[in-house]
Amino acid sequence: MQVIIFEDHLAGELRPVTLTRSAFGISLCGTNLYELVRRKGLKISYIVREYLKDMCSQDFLNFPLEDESLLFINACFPPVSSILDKILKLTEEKKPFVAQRDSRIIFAFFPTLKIDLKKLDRKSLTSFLLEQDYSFLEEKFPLINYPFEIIKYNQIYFQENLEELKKDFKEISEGVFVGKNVEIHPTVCMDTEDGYIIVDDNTKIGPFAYLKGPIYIGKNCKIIERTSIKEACHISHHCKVGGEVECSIIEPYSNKQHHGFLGHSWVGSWVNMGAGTSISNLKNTYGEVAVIYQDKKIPTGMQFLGCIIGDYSKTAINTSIFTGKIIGVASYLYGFITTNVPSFCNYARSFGQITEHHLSSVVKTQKRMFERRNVTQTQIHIKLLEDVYNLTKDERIMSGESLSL
Amino acid sequence: MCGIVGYTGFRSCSDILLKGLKCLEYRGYDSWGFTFVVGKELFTIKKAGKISEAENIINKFPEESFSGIGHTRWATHGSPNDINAHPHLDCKEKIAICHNGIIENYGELKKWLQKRGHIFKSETDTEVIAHLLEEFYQGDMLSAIKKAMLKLVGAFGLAIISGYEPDTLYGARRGSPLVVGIGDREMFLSSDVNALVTHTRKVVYLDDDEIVKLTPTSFKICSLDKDKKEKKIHTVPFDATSIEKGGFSHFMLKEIFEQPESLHNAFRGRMDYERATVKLGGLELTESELLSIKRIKLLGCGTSWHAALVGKYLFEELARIPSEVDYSSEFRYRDPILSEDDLVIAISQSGETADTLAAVREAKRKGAKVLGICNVVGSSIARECGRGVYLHAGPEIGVASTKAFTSQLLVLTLLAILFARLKGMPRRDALIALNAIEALPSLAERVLKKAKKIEDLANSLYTYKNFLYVGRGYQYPIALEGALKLKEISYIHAEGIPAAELKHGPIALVDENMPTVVLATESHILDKVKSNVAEIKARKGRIISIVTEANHEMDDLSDFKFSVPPTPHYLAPILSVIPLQLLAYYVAVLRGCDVDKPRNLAKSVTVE
Repeated sequence: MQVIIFEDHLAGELRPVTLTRSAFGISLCGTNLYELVRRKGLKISYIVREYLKDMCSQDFLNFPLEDESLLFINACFPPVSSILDKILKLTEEKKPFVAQRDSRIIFAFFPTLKIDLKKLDRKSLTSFLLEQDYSFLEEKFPLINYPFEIIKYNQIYFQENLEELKKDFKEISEGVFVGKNVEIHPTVCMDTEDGYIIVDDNTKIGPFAYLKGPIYIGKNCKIIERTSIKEACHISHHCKVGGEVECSIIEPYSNKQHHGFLGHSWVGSWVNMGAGTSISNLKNTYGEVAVIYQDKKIPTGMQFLGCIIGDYSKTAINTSIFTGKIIGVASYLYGFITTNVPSFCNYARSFGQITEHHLSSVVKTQKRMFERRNVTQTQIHIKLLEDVYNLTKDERIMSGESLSL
Repeated sequence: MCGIVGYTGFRSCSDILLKGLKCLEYRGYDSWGFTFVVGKELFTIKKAGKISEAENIINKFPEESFSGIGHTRWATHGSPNDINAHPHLDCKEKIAICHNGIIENYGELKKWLQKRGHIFKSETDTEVIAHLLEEFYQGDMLSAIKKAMLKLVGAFGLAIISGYEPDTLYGARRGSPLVVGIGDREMFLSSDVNALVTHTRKVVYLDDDEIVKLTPTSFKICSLDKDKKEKKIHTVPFDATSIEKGGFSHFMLKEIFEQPESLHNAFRGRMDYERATVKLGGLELTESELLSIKRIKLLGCGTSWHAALVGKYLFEELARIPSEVDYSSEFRYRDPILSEDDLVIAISQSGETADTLAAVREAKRKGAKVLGICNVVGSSIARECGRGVYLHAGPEIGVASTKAFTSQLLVLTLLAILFARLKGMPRRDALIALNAIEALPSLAERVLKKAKKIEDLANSLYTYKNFLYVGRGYQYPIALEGALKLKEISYIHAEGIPAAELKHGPIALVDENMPTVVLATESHILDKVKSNVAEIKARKGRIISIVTEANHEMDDLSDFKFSVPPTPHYLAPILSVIPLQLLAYYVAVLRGCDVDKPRNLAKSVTVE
């Protein structure tokens, strides 16, 4: 059997998270969907948005289609190992099935199906799959419908995923699992009462840090002295982390080195958070957090929700981001952030200044950041920034902010 | 939907093409046309009107022609007149084509071709194909066809002849049906086998992106990526008797089964995923005019009135525009209050409904903007409104409307999405709607595959004398429509009512002799529907439930369950009405009623 992970018509709407990455590359619960499926020993082909193809092919192998027994998985399915196992078990019965939620296909399995991936695009895939013979599964499975649901599902499924992931690591004390060349200072306090702690290869944890499971810290990370990382935190590879982090996800190559609180948030790649940057994750009223999403107020069902910060964004020192705010890609923030921020903006609203952040400047900054981490900037990286800049033009016009461009 | 025939062989082709076209008239009948190859020249004759009513036309055909093409049209782009009738020719009048389908990108192709000097004569989407072939033809027609196909977006079945290769006939398809008939020293091409069976039963069905080259003694099939394709030759199992019904015993059943295609045609080329909205060409209203609309009035009669009721729910929920529904016949005589900020939407399959036409005139007189939703292009209502959205459902012959109804619902949904996006509907919500619409043909097909279940149900129900149909929200108008279908063709008394209204009177009718059809698909008010149905169950009423697949909430209450696939609640009526259409049909057949021509009814009500 071969797996086809597909982005449907809504994958691109998880802005800003999926502006720069495929939905199956979103980190949560200690892994991402592509990695989780790969761990199960399955060959993966994928269908992504056209402009992301080159970038995806650098990070994820796209196998040619060789099999006629096919399991389709929506790229917005959160990587939950136990659910995937259940689905794989069902495929053994060799009976076609479809699992749908909110009119979106989450899983579809066909024991024999001939398809030509070149002829199928993301728009026509759903109708093509629904044309086949199958029965609907009655069980409702999770699907990431809004960006804030990444944080919700991360909390719900983190510990049970670590149960599976820990098998790849060595247990050095009860509930603490490490990879190769991990350095944990003897003064680090590790609390595994509520979940495992996994620290991946070549990562260093500085003195007096406090780690409370379940957490996953990826490869080549640096956790500075006195850092506190608590509960359902996924720190991806090559991150530098300090201060207080709780129930949050940080994608690769981002820095949150200094003091300041990050809670119930998702932080993209190549983000730098200045010293003292803090995020509110609870309203003064203790009420449900609502987010403004595509100009509509959406109740999240969550009491704790911080912010979503797109790739390449930066915060100045002492930036304060209010509860449930969504920050776009490559925006620079200063002062109090009381509203959502579109992509490619210099956002200093509290000082009366909001300007467009020019693409050329973002490209230059990208080059400087990459060089510091020994990453070579290629045309693919630049093209992606250009595409995202163009894709988000409407955001800047429609954001309701009077931008002085 | 249009009909195409083509011939090349040893016989004079005029009579063959004429008879063939008459067999295809059910596919379209607003205009017709032929092109014959005479020597190396093309002779074309085409007219508005029905081919069956054209008298003595055979006398106008050339005697010595052994290859030609013919077409009977159902207009989609451009009104039905002599100029827009097919075949269409290139500038030099050396290439002629007949087309069945819709070219979605014809506008941009037309501009491109005009810039390159091509002169267009008609308003059709089809004409671009003739000019494209002319543009690409450099001595090899097959290569020109391939190049043209790579440019075309949309659906087509094509028959092509040219003066360059007088005895060669070409066919090509994508989306629209095309079948090759293999004779002895003669070859045929047609939209379906009906036009061929009197000549041959050996046929080859073309698949998408395939091209066939026919000479009197050979046929060669290739595709866009393969030079030669081996295809199976089928033997047609039936003869010419059931012709235009395409193997179905009645037009109504045929039209019910055409719904996957008619739904596809209703949204084909109208979805704009990039901007997460819809494109409706005939609207003729600017964005600011659309935004200025404060109220929508929907008008219709019979089934169209039921579509209007669903439209009210759509406009109010998705676009948040206050909407009202009126019977056209009542509206026109009650001195309605209208202003220039009102949009009056007139819904009529035929576009000739006298009451609706008069209501449109009244609305215009009072200064409101009017918009027509019709199936027949160039019909009176379409012309009177001056702006509108066509259903593209193809001709509907059965008196009881089926496919036009579901297309009306779909077009109303498209309109509601358009308004909703202008009024701030999130992109995400619009994309959900667009994708769910795109899946509707597949889902309708899934419902139709279970038609036998409804046929069996009809066997146990057809002797009852009264029926109740109940539903809530979007399904209330569907309850009305289900009841109307049963009344129309089986002459059984049936009432459609909102489920919650049962307890205010109609429940007094319920006993073991009154079956109730319950529309209980997934929605936020399913629990309420269940409570209403429990009241019927307690009175020994027989419950037939239309439910959502994989949802078992109605299991305990139902005596019979028919499930439709999940879709957003505002699209559910399009799927849930299909089993009701089938139920009415099978009950009527079992009762020996004339399904296609029920007593006392006419297809198009052109009197007040």
